[in-house]
Order: sequence, then structure tokens, then C-alpha cells
Amino acid sequence: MVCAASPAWAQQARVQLSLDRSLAYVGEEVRVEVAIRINGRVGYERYLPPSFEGFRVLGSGMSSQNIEIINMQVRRTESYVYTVTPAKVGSLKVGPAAVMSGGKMIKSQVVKLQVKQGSARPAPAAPDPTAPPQPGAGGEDRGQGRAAFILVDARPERVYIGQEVLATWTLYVAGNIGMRSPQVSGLPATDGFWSEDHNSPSQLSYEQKVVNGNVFNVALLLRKKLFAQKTGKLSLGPMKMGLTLVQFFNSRRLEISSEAKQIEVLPLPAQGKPAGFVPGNVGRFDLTTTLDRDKIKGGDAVTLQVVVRGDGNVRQLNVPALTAMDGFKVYEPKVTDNLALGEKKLEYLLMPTRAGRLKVPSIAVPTFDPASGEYRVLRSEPLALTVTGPMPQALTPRKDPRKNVLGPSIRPPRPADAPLTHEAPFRPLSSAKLWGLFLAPLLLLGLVTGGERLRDSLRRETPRRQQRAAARRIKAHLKTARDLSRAGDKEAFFSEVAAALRDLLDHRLGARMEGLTRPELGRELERRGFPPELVSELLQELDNCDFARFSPSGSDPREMDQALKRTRKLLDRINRVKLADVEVGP
Amino acid sequence: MTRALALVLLVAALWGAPAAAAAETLQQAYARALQEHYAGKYDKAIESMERILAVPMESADLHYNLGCAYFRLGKLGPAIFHFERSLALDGSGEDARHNLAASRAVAATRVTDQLKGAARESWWVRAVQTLGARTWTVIFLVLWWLTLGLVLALRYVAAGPLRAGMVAGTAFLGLVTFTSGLLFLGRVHHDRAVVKGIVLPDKLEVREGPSDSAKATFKLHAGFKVRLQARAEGWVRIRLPNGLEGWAQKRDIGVL
Repeated sequence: MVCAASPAWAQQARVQLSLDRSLAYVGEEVRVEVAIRINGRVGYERYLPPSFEGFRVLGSGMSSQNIEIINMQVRRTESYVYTVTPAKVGSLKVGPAAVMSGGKMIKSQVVKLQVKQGSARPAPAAPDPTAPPQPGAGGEDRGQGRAAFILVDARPERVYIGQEVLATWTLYVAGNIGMRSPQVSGLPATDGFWSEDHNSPSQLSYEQKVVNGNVFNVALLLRKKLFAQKTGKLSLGPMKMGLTLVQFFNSRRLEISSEAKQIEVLPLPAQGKPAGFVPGNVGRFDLTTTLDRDKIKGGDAVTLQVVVRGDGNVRQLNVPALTAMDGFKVYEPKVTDNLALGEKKLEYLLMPTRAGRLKVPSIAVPTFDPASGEYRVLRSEPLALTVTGPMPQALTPRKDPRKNVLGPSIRPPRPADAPLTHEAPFRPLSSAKLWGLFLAPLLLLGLVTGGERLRDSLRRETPRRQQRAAARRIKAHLKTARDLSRAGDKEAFFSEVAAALRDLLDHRLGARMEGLTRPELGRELERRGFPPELVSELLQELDNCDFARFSPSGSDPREMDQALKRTRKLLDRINRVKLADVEVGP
Repeated sequence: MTRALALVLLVAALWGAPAAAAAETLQQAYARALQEHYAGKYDKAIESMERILAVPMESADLHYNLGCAYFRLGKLGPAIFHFERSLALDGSGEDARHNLAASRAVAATRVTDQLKGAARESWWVRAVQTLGARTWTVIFLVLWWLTLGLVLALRYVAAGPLRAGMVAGTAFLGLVTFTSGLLFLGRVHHDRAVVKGIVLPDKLEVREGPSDSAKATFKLHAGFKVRLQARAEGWVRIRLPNGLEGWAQKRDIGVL
């Protein structure tokens, strides 16, 4: 274990960076841990991860976070774990990591790692992975079974060299026991295997399982795809971790480890090996090739995509390179491997060198299928491409690429007379003013349309409105008649009474009745559902009005009062008549 | 006032001198940097202006002048980067546009590009990039108001040849407005969603993975515009308009 701490305690915080080894080989996984301890209630403002120049970062994340309060003193502990792999030989530096706390930068020291070429691992800090598991090494023996243990599962256990083995390490903790601060202290050695992580969780996620009648909290720790690189009996080393078991008020720190696992690796059969077979091509794969277009103009390029999919180590899979093809200039392919999907993709840029119908030949990839135990040669379908139009002249490099290097003149600097102000890029959708300008015409249109509709609705004559208007007019006629009665103006009085009756009849019948003779009016009223007696009384009253208006006798207030009362009753009865459903109009 | 004082102190701190002795406003520092430029001390001018940028300060003029200084030093990648930044802040900068084109022309003479068509964006991206976000906004707003104004006017015009003509005009204008609205929104989306970067060194080897030991897949020259897809420790994954992808050191890409 190599570790380095910040030389000075910066008041309340301390940053510690450690590696799990001091010597590593190129491509080997190295675990880097940054531990931050802060005394006090206030945490740190910012965490700056260490520099990993010369490394590839395979994974990172916060592994633990802990807050303790002892004698009213708060102590926070956090750790970040990185899995890295050195990419070059030499003395590589890791770090420093730093935190900003209380306005101060607290750094860890830089730690050096000696990196050598080769694939052999240095002497492991963990116990010999091939050693048999110790009794009770899986966890505390609690009489009814172990309280916590790691179970390793690797399938299949008998494979051909290069064949995929899926290995998982799972943590089991007895359901009646609490557990905290789990920390992996040793990853399993996979010497002799090509190892690839396969969706291992970044943090533990537990589910309950019943095993032999006992309840366990189970969490997946690690899942790897392993590809044996040599024959014989290979061993997966133990995975080690520390955790604290809590039961009632007792807690106990425990170190547990998985058992080692043996995998028997068989050589590939010598018989039936096709020409050009490469030992890494082990697995069950399919091969497809596609062109992004089947017809292009001269001077255009096409992309040939070669995809191999299936179960196996696609990183190790060797697809014969296309070097030369008749009628094409072939550029270096872009190669992408996706082990999770089991896919290797090669994208070739092809530049036709002549016009016409060109042929992309079939591609052959010899493989070994471990499921059937036989060799297979994958072959793609040949593809056709039509190139039309004239071919451009071949591009030739410039004879003097540095000629006229600073030839084009540029415009001079802008003077500093304008005040230097902080500017932000133009973001139209973040401006309230612009939103206002976008929406204003819509709002205007809405207001105009709404206003017009409101005006129309106010102007529209509804039956209710017509009824109210008629009632108002009749009421006005009757009021005028009453005033005229008091004034003793008999002619005008009866004129108003007759007008009130006619107005109501016009309103009820929906047409003007003024031009009708009395018999015509009577027939029309009866046709529209007026009772004959009401028609008779109504005609009688209208006749009375005409007679009274033009008779030479003097005004009699009592006669006018009686006429007004009769008229009111008639109006009321006219209003209550249920009209017949007949065609309107005399 | 408080901000101005803070900037003065910050500039003093950045210059590493005691505040009382060497306090200089950003404006003074900027003027001094330009004097250095005029005197031909381009490296000093760059150093001074980069310090002002680190305040932080974003200004179209500042980026433009930095681009000029880098160009004079023959560092075309940073020059193109700063001209692009200047245009992003002020799309109407005709001189920045001119200098950007000049820088790209010089860069093209230095390297014969093996990746034909790699810099050619799709027709849609080229369409939205023909004008800046500000110009697209103005065009769309004018058309939008005109269209809705015509729609409003139609309510008051009686049926007849005039109204028929107005209906046809409104339909045509509506179509143009819709198209300009699409281009405007496309430009806004492109500016927000696509993180672009400029290749800074004269030649950049793009690798298969975020590691110096990863295989180099293709090369780019200074000023090449790329899209940034992802970041790792000190590395960024870049993508070219033709779909080629690879990893480059973060320090070699200027993020726009």
C-alpha cells in the first residue's frame, strides 16, 4: 500500500491519497483512493479530483461517506475510489487531489507508481488466490450459518481458450443483522484471463433472498467477462472486503473473502482449423457488411461498415483488414468495440478510383464456435456500388505547403476606447422582452377578435331580449295611459291602450297586425291558438277603444279606469296563450 | 461600484502584485495589452489579454483582439478560436468574420487535408448557420408581425379582388414566416445543444481512446471545428460532421 497525506493539517481538513500498489504493469488495474477527513460541522466547498496523466480511468465514484459525532464533535469522512490503468511505462504520478475548505485549498501529496511493460502481475498483496479457502473465511460463524460471505459464480467452468466466462461475486449478509461501511479491500486476481468489467454496480443495491430457509440481504459486488488466454487449470482469486456488522447495540468490523474458483481451459482442436484463423477469434458470431449508399457521383466517398456481433471477446476478435480493392482507394478503418453489446464495428472510407459498377468483395472471418466445438468461416455478401459521372483529377499535395503562410491580411485590432464590459452570448429564448415581442401580435389579434365577438353578442336580438323590450314598451304605454286618464285626455288614453294591445299582439305573433281588419285579425288570432272568447273580448276592447276615441261624449275617469283594468287583464291573458305551431304571418 | 472595486483587486491579485501598489483597472490593463500589440509584442499582449479573460471577462472586442495577436504570432488554432468566440458574442462583427476567413485560408495552405468532406456539415446545420441568432430573430420577428398584421387587416376588407390578393399574400407570407421560424429555432437549438470546439495546435492526432497509448485514427489541423461528445480526465471525445469520432487532449481543443 502506497499512501501519502497532506503535509500540513489545514485547520480542520485532511486529504489522503493512496494506491493499492507501488509497482504495476501497463494495462493492469490499479485502485486509487482519496480519503477526505474534516473535523467540524461545515464540509468542504469543492472537491478537485487527482490528475491521472498517463493513465486511463476505468471507473470512479464516491465509495463511502460517513459522519460521526463524538463528544459533540462532528467528524466527516468521505472517500473517492478510482480504478485506473497505466497507459505507459515509467514513473507515473497520481495526484494531487484537493478540496476547498473554508476558502483554503488542501491538497494531498503526489504519489508515484512504477510502471513496467508486460502482462505479469506483481506479487499480490492478497493471499495466494490458488490457496484453498479457509474454514470460516467467508464471515463470522454465528452457529446457524455465516453472517456475511461472498459467493463467487463462474460459468462455464470448462471452456476453450478464448471462450467467454461470466463471473460474478455477490455479497450475502444475514437478514437479521445490520451492516455498514462495506469496503472492497481486494479485487479478485484473474491471472491468465483477459478481464473486462460487465456492468458492475457503482454502489451496492440489496435485495432479499431466502437460502436454505435463511433470509439474506444480497448485493452484486462485481461482474466480469473473462476470456482465458492460456490452457490448463486457471484460478479466480478471492475477493476481499471489510464491513461492520451491527446487531442491537454491538458492532464489529469484519474482513471477509470469497473462495477461489477453478476454471479448466482446453486448447482449441487442431483438426479442421481454417486457413487464416487467428487464436483470438473464439465465439459465436455473425458478420454483416453494408454500404451507406449504392449509387454515388465520381469524387464522392462511401462508407463500408463491417459489423461482427455475437458472444465472445470482440476486442480480441481479428477481422482481416481490407488493404486494396479493385476500383477503390481504401482508407484506414475506424474501429469500435462494444463488449457489452458484443459488437465490433469497422468503418472503412472507400474512395472509388473509376466510374462504373464496382464490386465490394465478400469478407471472410475464420472463427471457432465453442458451443459446437467446430471452426466456422463467417462470410459476408458481396456488395455492388454504381459510380456515375466524370471522375475528378487526383488530388495532389501542394508542392510548397508553407507558401503564402501569412498571405491574407487581417484587419487591425479594435481600439480600447469602448468600455470593456462582460458580455453574454445572445440567447433569444431567455429574453423576456423578446418573448413579449413574439407574443404581442398574438395578444393583439386575440383582443381584436374577442372585442368583435363581444360587440356582436351585445348587438344580437335574442327572444328574451325581444320579450323584455316588448314588456318595457307595454309598460310605458300603460303608464302613459294612466297619466292621460288622470289628465282627462280620453282620446289619447284610448289610443295608448289600443297601442299596448297591438304591441303585445305584434310581439306574440312575431308580425305586424296593424294593417288587418278586425275579422282578419280575429281569424289570424284563432289560427295561432288564441281561444275564441279571448279573441272576441280582445276585438271588443279594440272596438271600444276606437269608439271611445272618436265619440263626442266627454271624458269619464271611471270609464277609463275600467278600460285600463280590462286591458291589464287582457294583456295578462294574451301573455299566457300557448301559440299553435303554424306558419307565421297573416 | 463594488463590482468595479472587486475587479481592480482581482486584476491586481492576478498580476501577483500588492493591490495598493499595482492596482490597475481592467480597462487600463486592456489598453496596455493593446499598446503591446501595436508595439509588436504579441506574446506579451496575449499574456495580458488572457489574464483579463481569466477574471472572468467575456467580450467580443477582447476575443477579437486576442485572435489578431495570435494570428500575428502564427498560432492559427487559437486565433480561429478567439475569432469564433468574438462572433458568438457579437454576430455582426464584420471584421471578426473577415479575420476568421483569413485565418482559415492560411490554415488551409499549411495542411493538405486527408479527410475530404469531414468539415462539411449537413444541409440543415449549414442552413441555420447562414445567419447569426440575432439576425434570425429579427427576420422572424418582422415576418411574424407582418403576417399577423395581414391576418388582422383581412377582417376589415370586404370580399373582392383586394381581399383575394391579400389572402394569397398572407398565405405566402405565412409560409415564409414558418420557414424562418424553423430556421430561427434551429439556430437557437444548435447554439444550445451542440458543444463545439476548435482544434488549437497546428496538427492534432485524434486517438481511439482517452490515452496517449491509444491508436491514432486520424489527424486534424488547426482551426478545425469539431463537436464535443464526452469528457474524461483531461480528454474529450470529439465528432466530425461526417461521423468520425475520436479522443483528443482537452488542452488541444478550445471549447466555444
